[in-house]
Amino acid sequence: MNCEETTKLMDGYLDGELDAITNQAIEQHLRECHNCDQAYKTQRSLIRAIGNATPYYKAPSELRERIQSSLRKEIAEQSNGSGIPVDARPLIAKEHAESRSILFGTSWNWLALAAAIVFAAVIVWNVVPRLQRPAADQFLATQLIASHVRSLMANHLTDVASSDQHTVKPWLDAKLDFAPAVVDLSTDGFPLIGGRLDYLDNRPVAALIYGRRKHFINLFVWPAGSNTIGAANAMSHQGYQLLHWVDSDFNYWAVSDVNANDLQTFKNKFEEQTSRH
Amino acid sequence: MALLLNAEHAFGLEDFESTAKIVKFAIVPKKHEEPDQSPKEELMSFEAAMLPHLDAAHNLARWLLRNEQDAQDVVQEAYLRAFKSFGGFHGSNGRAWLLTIVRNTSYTLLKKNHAVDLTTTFDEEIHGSGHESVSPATILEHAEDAELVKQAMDELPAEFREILALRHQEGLSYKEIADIAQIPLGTVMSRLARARDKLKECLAARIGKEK
Repeated sequence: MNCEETTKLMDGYLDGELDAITNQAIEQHLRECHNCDQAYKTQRSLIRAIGNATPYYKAPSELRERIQSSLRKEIAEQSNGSGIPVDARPLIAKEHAESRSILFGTSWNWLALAAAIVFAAVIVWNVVPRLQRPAADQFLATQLIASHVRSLMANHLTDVASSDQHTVKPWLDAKLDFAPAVVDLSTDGFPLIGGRLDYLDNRPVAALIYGRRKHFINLFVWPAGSNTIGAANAMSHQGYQLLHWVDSDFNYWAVSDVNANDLQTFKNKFEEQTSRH
Repeated sequence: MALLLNAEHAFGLEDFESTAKIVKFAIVPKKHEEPDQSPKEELMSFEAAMLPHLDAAHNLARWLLRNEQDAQDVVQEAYLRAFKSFGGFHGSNGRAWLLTIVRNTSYTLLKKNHAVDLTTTFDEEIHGSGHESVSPATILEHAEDAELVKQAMDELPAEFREILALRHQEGLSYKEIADIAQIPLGTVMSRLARARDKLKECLAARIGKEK
């Protein structure tokens, strides 16, 4: 740092706006150059004195009142649309009372109708899925297996190949509207291989891929809806093992050609690890 | 709410009409609670966020316009403008946001009044002479004279007055100043340095005259 550069950067240095390295270079120069050091000290005292002596024009109290009343006038004009200045307080209160009477007065028969519809809806919503569930599970199982097989066949097992959960998780979080837990289970014999986006049950889902000796496990994850509460259930379909469980946030479907016991172990280890996170 | 909306998925398409009604029913009470309160509520949150910066707003306008009446009119107008666009403000720096509006409103008035000192085209002949004999030490002696500093500040172009007020009085960072004055960050330091130099020159000229 020479004198010219120091002079140029003097104001930034005084204002504490330079980076640490430049600061150090200037300090070094000031220790070595008496002239620049003098100039710096003079400038520092001058700026301080001028700053203190500059009159500060505080707002007079009537300005505050003027502003507050003009803002109230503004919202009064906005809500009655007439441009006639009205004191805002009574107006707001009145409008509010009117809107309340609309809701609780004239529209009560609509409420009754709506309540009846809700009642019907609750019944339909509770009963229909129970009747449909076996078929739906079968259909979903077929979809899951198809997805699992496709992922192995089309050489598209992973979109993001990494055994590091801290790589896979952010990648998935960025692509989805939910953030599934990602844990590496290599110490339990199920190394994390990567993650993939998939589409199941009419929505994008996360697929986590784990290895088991020479086999692969696809773990499909998506947010749990309110109609998916249920205990873990295992099924076998077309020679593949499927294991389904639900926690407070997510639906899990593990699909693989490993045996049912391995899949159960996988599930237990996965839950153990995620509960620790 | 969540429960009802989920029901929509369970119905399938044939129940679309009744689903639509349910959704309507479910949303109506909420709609009536929120927007009706909002003008008043919005005003209250606006005032809570922005009135604390009234002094800063007034000070900036006062330095820019050099006239108390204009400053008050501009600040009132700026608060109205700010209130109207408050819905679009999601930042955390309310002071810088408000000061930007105050500054823009001030410049609108300055331009309307054909203020000649908007930029730094500055008469070096008048302001650049007669102070060579005044040493920094002498300036320093007089630098605490508020009236003298005020007169010297008022001689400066608007963009110098504004940057000095923002830095010396509000203590704003270069980044904030760059946002308010709408100049690149790299320009802040050089403009501030020039403003300080000019202020010193104006002080020196006045001290020289007094002698």
